[in-house]
Amino acid sequence: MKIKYFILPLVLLLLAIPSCKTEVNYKGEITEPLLVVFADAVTNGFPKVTVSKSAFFLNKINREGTDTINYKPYLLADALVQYSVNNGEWISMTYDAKEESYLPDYKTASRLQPDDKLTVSVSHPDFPSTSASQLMPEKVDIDPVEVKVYDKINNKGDTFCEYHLTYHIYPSEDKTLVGRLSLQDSYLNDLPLMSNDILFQELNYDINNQNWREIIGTVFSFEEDELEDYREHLDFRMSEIPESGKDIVVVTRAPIAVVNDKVERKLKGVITNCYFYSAETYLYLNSMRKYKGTSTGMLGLEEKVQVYGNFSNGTIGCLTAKSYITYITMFKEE
Amino acid sequence: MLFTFSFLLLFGQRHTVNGYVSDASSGERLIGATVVDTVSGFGAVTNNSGFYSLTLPDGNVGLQCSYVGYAASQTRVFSLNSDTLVSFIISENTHLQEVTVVGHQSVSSPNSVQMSAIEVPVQQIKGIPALAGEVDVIKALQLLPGVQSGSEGSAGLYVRGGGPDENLIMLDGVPLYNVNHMMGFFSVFNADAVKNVTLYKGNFPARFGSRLSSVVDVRQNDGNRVGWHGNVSIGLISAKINAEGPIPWNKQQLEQLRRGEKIERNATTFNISARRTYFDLFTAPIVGIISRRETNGDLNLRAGYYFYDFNAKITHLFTDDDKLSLTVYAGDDDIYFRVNHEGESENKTDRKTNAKFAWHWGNLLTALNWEHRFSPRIFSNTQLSYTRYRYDLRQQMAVTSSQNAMSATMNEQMEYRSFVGDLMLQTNFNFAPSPKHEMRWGANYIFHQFRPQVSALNFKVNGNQNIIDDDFSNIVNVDTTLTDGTINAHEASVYIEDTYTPWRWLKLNLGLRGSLYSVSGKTYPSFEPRVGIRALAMKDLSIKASYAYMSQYIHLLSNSSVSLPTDLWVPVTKNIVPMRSMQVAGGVSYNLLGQVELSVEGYYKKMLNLIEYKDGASFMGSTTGWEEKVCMGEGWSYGVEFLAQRTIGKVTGWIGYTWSRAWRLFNREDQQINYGKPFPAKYDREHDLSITVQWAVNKLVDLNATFVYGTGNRATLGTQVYYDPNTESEVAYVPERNNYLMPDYHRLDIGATFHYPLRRHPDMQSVWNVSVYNVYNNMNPFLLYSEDNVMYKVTLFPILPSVSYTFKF
Repeated sequence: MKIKYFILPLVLLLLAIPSCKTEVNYKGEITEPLLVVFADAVTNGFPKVTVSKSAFFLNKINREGTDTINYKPYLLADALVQYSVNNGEWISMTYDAKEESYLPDYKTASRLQPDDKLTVSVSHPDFPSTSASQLMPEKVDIDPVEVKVYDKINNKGDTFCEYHLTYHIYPSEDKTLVGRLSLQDSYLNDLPLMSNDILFQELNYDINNQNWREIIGTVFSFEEDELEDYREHLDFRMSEIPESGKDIVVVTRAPIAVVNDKVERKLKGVITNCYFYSAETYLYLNSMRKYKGTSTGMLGLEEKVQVYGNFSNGTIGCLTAKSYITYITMFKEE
Repeated sequence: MLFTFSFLLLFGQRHTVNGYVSDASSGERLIGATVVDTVSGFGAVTNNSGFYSLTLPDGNVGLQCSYVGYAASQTRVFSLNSDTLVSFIISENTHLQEVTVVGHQSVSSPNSVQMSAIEVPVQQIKGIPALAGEVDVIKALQLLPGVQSGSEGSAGLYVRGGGPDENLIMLDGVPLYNVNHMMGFFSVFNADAVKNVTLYKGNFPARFGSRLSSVVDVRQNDGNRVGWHGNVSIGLISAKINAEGPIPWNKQQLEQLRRGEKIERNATTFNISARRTYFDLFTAPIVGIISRRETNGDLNLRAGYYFYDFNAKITHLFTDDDKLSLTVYAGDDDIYFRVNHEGESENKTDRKTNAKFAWHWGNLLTALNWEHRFSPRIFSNTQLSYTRYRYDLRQQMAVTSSQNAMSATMNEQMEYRSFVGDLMLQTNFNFAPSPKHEMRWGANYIFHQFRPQVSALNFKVNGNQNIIDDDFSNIVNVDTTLTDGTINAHEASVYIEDTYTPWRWLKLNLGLRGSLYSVSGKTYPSFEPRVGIRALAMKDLSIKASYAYMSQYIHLLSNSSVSLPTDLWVPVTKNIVPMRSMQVAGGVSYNLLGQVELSVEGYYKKMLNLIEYKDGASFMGSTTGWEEKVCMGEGWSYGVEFLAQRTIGKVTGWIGYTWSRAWRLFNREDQQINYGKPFPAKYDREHDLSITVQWAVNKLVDLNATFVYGTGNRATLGTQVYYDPNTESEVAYVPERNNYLMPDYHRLDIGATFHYPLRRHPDMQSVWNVSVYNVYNNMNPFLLYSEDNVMYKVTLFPILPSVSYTFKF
């Protein structure tokens, strides 16, 4: 039972009984917009940079019918965006209207390698120039060691299976990295799913005699009506992994079959994603998680969270660097 | 011969006058009364037992007694040549004609070395117009300079830039951990039970320790020694009863009482007060009626909230040398919710639901106190006490599903508890060896017990599980208890202090307190020097300065600015070290025409090892891993306070103004807040003005008014918003913590009290009190938020009239 689910409504109820709401004039400083840069880089991939500007909170343009910012008017397509690798020459990035981001020329650019020092620089006439740097994380070996699937658990006609996955995490020289394991049940009948995303070919692994294959690339992207069941992720620090490595066991359960649009789909397997984040990337992710966890906008009940950023000269945003590995475990049909 | 003469001069020509100061109408002994020898100029102050001791040279002596809110006594002139018992009985001055008073009135008067302390007469507290008509001791203290109240309606105390957990609030010398009812809108102190309230904001005497920012010393009435009295009152939200009087042991004592005489020996008195809110007694049945009517009897709901306080004190005076008293306080807040429902579930089974929810939190305090006078110069006070705060949240639910001949029952029980308690033994001595020295020393030992969190969970399903509803289909039988464990801590301290008057114009208070705190295998020692200096520039004008070093070994984990019962007290650990503070203060104190005490004080306070919660950290009643969720840093505050206080005459009250700033800095590695840069503390309010006036128009009518004005509270505001493509969401950019000042806060409260003595029994009277909180309906902000590019404020209390009736007997 979450105590906070009782407390917060109770407090709000007590406050609401005699309270009144009235409009009030803002008496602080009306601040100017700031440059906002988010750059994402994946080891063995290419950087992608989104440039926009912020808005004063009392005159932002909202999406129609909502109180949430419409980001499109604030995108900046005329910035000078470049990146360099290991202090080498600057490589220009051009604005892609479809992606709404700045991308390199894939034909000529080289993929980012582990331990590369990536520097992203952005200039715009309306804002001070800014830059940020990150070391690209290495891809840490994690071996799926064991999968155990336990008897179905009957409960009023629904059947479940519980499976335990054990991964062996190998040590890394970069102790600042943070790993994140997340699981995703797969109910889809046909694999591969989206051909432009899938880089693996192996299917139908035998549960008791797996032949794992490392997957490099993006994870599956499902349509919204596809069935997915994301589990909570598990974070671990590479500084806590000894030289002999460490086994991590993840336990989860899922229904044997689910029905969507009157079509029954059986559990096919589980997808394991393991990300490795740089220290600053993890700070950003953690601060954003806390930001989303605080209550909405009411000044005075909870402290507002300052989201982490690493761009210079007062620019909002973060250059995030990560690597990842994806494993697919397919359950053999009985 | 010369040596003998000198010896006689040194040791043989002084004696001690000692005694008690009591109230004429009730016989209550008065704390902090001043007894002065008008011949030599030396004086003494009564201790918490109303006892004073003054060693003077032999010869002519003229003793006069004065006390805040009372008329000075007649001067007693006599020749001192032996230890002499001289007790005073003085009368309250509230409804008398204007008088000219000589002598020294309050704890921080020009003659006293004490500064940064304010004593507020209980009569003044009762005269201040209050929220919903509930007279509140803590709310009265919030009107004093140097004290902030936090958010609107809150009972928190933020003293000279310190937090709400840095105040040692005591009832008869025993600490109370949570002094809030109803989320902090009211305090636990029933003014009918209170005799004396003193607030120390700095210059802490060595007998006080364990908190950084303030000491609030609340003393209960012993009980009327002359006759049986009391009152019954009913107000907007609560009803109260108070009764006090002597307990005669034999016919002789009974006859003395009938004659209106005070019993001097083997006298027992009692004082009992109780208070309870009552609106739940009406709302709970009404909620039940409405729920049954709206659902054709299917749903029966009963819900409500109340709080109560119970104070009791029994005192037995064996002789003037020995007094024994027992103090008890119990208070709780209670939220309850009961529902019975019958109906059909989604899978067409008949379902009956019985659910109970109960949440209560509160304090229990008990103290056994023995006062003993060893000699005219040595007085002791020994106390054994117990105090605890706990909250307990329970939920019970039973759901029975039935279909045809089959049935199944799901039982759920959840309990969530937390507890903090102290067992304390302390002893204190007063010793007046000479006119120039007044010494105190003492020791205490406290056994602390913390049980921050205990969760018990029990789920059980009986019967045919196939007909259990979908809602409970995933339930697995569980019977488990989770706990953070019990933490025991030991605290021991000793102190000594001496008020030394080398010359009449110079008075020094030198004190040293040593303490040890032991918890979880770790021991923290502390040595805390205390220094106070008073230089009398001229009669009734003095210049004062002080230094105090304080340590605090416990923290309050609290998630928000609203006081919640789930706020948890935890002790220091190996990683979270004790908080420390160092405060220097200087000022001038002047007694204007014997009527008004004026003081101007400046202070600077530095605080170390403060804890603040990391961004996004939430406690909400769980201490699991709390050390990982906090940052340690430092704070500092400074300011100037002005106070003009009048406690006698037909018009009483005070004007207090404070200019102050308070800052925080958290820049340790991995423990940064606000990017490691200094930021204003949450209740950093630069200007604060309070004016409170009570006018005794005549014996039948009192009028009162209070006006407060202050800089608005601080809040953290995201002034820019932006789009984060990683999360596809709008994010507020926060440039600095506590960067926004809410609109200034101001409010006027007025009240009137009408006394109607009964014709046949003039000592009985009906009293009506009418008051209006926030007379001109200023919409002070409690919360701010923005919506559709417009900023709104939520106001908690608009204009609020109230009325109460009291019958006094």
